[in-house]
Amino acid sequence: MGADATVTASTARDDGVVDVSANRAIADGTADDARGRTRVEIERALRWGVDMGDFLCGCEKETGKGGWDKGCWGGGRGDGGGARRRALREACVAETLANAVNGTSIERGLSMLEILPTGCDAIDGLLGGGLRQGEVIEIVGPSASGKTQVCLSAAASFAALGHRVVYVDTGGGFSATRIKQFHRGFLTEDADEGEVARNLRQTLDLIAVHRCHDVFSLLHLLSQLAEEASEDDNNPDRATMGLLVIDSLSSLLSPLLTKAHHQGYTIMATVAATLRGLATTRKTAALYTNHTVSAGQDALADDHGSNLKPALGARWTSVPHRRIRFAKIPGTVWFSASVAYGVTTKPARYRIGSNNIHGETER
Amino acid sequence: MDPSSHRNPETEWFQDSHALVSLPLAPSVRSKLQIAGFRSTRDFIRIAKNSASVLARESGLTLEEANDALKAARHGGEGAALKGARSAAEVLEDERRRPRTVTCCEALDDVLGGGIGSGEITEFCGCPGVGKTQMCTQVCVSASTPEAFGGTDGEAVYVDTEGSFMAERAMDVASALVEHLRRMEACESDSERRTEMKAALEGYTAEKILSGIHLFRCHEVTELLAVLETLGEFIAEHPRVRLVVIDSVAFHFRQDFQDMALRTTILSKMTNRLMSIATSRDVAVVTVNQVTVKPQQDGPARLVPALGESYAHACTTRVILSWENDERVAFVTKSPRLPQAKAKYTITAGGIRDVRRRRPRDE
Amino acid sequence: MSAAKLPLDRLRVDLDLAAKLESRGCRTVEDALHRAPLDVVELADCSHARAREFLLDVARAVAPTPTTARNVLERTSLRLRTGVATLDDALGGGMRVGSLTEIVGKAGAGKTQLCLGACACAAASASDGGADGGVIYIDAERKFSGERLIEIARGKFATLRADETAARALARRVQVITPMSLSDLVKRLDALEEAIIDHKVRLVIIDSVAHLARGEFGRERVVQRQSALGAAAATLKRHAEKHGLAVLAVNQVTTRIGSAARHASDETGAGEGVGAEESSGITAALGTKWAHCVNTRIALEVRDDRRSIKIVKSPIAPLTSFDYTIGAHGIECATKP
Repeated sequence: MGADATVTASTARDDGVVDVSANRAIADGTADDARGRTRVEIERALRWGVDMGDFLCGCEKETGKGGWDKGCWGGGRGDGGGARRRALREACVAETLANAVNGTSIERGLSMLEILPTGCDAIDGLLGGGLRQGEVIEIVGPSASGKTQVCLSAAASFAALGHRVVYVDTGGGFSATRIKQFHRGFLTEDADEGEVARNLRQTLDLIAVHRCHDVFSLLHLLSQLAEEASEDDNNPDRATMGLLVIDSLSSLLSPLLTKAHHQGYTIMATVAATLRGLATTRKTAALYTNHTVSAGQDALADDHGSNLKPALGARWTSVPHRRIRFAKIPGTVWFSASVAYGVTTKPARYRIGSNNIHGETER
Repeated sequence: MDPSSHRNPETEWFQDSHALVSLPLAPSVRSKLQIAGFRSTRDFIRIAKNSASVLARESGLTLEEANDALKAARHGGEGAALKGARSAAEVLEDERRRPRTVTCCEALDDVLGGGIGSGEITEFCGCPGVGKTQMCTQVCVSASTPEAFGGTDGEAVYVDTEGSFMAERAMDVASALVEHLRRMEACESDSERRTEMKAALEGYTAEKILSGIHLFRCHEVTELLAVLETLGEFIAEHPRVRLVVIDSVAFHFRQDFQDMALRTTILSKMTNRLMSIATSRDVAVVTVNQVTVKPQQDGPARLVPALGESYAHACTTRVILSWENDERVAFVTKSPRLPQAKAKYTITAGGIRDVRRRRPRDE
Repeated sequence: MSAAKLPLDRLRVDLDLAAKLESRGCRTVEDALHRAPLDVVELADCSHARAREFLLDVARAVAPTPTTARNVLERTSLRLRTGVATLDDALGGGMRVGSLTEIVGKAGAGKTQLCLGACACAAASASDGGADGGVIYIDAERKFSGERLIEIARGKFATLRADETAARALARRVQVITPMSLSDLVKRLDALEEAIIDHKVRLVIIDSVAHLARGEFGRERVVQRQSALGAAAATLKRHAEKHGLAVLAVNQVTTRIGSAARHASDETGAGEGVGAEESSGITAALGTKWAHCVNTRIALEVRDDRRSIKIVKSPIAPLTSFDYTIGAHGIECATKP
């Protein structure tokens, strides 16, 4: 069984899925455990064509494992849930590849795996599980509607799951204290404190914070990140980059929106292309925020009739894969999030708590 | 094709052909380079071997222009001053240890997370007469609090656009602070701390505090913009500056700009400049905004911060000062790490203080 | 000449760039600084680094020189008395030099009387107990009366009662001008700089700003009115600081007719303290923007038979109020607070 696992693990790597702690997990022995127990479930899922993202979020419920929180956390048992999850995922990959018959199903199988939660279940619900790696998502909303909070929560979530996060902060909104609070919120109350602290240290080490105040330093940073992609391949021990957050991209770009000159728009187009290219190349999710400005006639039609429009407006609509609109529901502490185009789903309601962002039907 | 890199040849071409746009070059230099066949920074290395003279020869630029181009490629614009990334762990340490500038009203300092922090922009807005200038004067004086008392031990820059700064008032506030610190030292039981405090209070007088408050009086918006351009230089020459106060941003911008689009652009340029100073010089920035009356469809007209929705995103933390039943209240409406909260404060002869519950009026 | 209008080629900047910018229509400091940074690059066809250097040079040339609070303290402890003793005490000696003090009240509350009292105090010679300076009285409402001024002055300064020549000398120190509008006022002030210096003017009284503003702009042109007010306030303060004089402005009140009025015009309201929450619905005219420009605001309230002076906005004084009456010698305070 052990030898089997090793062979499969290295096959998976040759086929291009880099999973850094597969070896470790196998050495721990937890991988075997994961593989054996969930093989049945994986087969079931593949047969039914269930979205792996749902599967992974739902599997704990099915197995009824105590201590698994929402969002694939194993922290409650204090057994290094991150490693377990990675092993689980690695096992899923191996399974997919073993059963694949052509390139499309490899693509489909692999692409279904790379959804990671933002840590806010209402938003994850809207997104169909979370942020997909390689996807560019925009959050647009008025001031103090929770954009930075969701960015921080996503950063905490991705880092806690073992991925590197690059956080570009333009407005001084990054707060490591808040990351710590979100991190604590991901784990259940009875989690072992020592384990929590260890995990927190790992999480914090995986988040790199850059302060950018002009568009050229952003472009410089993005090109550096693109170049690092090749380094990743040579360095398997290093965690893969999972998330790029830019908070807020619109404040860097709106000074370029002068009416007079074309160069501003060209630079914006470059940023857009670089961002999408980076997301695809490094298989990382890219999350950025867009603020709102007062509109004249062309206001966003939303429930509350405010006359606001996104700062990065008409020319930017096609850049993100998906766009989520945040709004504050006046007179309450609740906010609403809705997907701006594509499948119209019911807007989600969420509120910001002391160590999490939770949706309306919170347990 | 190497599956692990997922390189899309189309994206790569698109990126490279725009790579020159991502450099802060002069337009004519860029077109000369493009005509000469240069597509990206890689070409600088490939063709010109990073030598300015070769580049000049190949592309028809002057030696100086070629030098500029190579410099831009290496550093990416203002990113030359990019401090590089910090991990979230380092940021957490900073957030814990770095002293903050207090307002001397404990309730307000609590809702601000200990006081006004560096590396971010904190905005105070409110009606005339509610105490914005008082608040600014108080924090300028508090910035000088010695480290032995948990303060930032620094000087302050006060940019006065309305002529509201009153030196006599600053004198009163400074004298009150000196008195207060002397009392603290006298009551200190720990002998080691007491000796530290005593040493710190040596030569610490109200006059000395006032000598550390640098005043810039701006009568019009052009002067304000000029001050902001040169502020970085000034702080480099006065490295003890720990706080910059702009009182107020709204005054000139509301009256001197008819073209709203231009106003928005200039405001965002100003904000980026302030944010950059806050980060690179590690100072706290406080801006003061006015309020305006906004009619609502339902209910009475509300007072909202001036300068519009687009400016609302500029500050990191926003505090609205207002009157409620004859009491002054500060309401933190926007903060990356703290929930919205209110605090009552009052203005005494000695500056901003807490409201004492026993005495109904403390003025 | 204001810094904004300085031409670029007169400054110590890269003259090449200045020439290029001028050919593209960017001639003055204002043109250069009021632009997005990218615009300068495009207009001057230079690298961003050079554009930044250039803007920095321009800024260095026009940025105001800093001073320290300590220096300012030594310079501006000066006050001009209003003549109402209790009020002067509360304000720390009187109206602060270099700032804008405003009096607000209904018609008949005594605003002009207060102005005349301040005028008398400023114009009286030092030997009589005054500030020994000139006064510019901007009389928009045609309420100035030389006789009333002398009557009040005699009431305040005993030595003037007998001395006819001194009283007339005092009156001569007051120059009355009657501008047609706010913009007219601003123009005249600029022209008066020489006179200000020659006659050692210490006090400028404007009676009243609301009249000037309303005369020029009707109820419809609120936006222009607000920006003209702002410009006027800035000019007044600049003169006040430059020449060390105090500015006393009179404002009227308007009645707030419920929320309807608020929807009608954009900025009538939010003058706190002057009946902002009262059921009578009175508030200072000219809106929030003007309220922000004013450094000190004193309200004269009349309720039934009782008149009270209330300090509504002041950087140093606590918000107190005390009763007053209008007598033969101007405003008199009945009791101490």
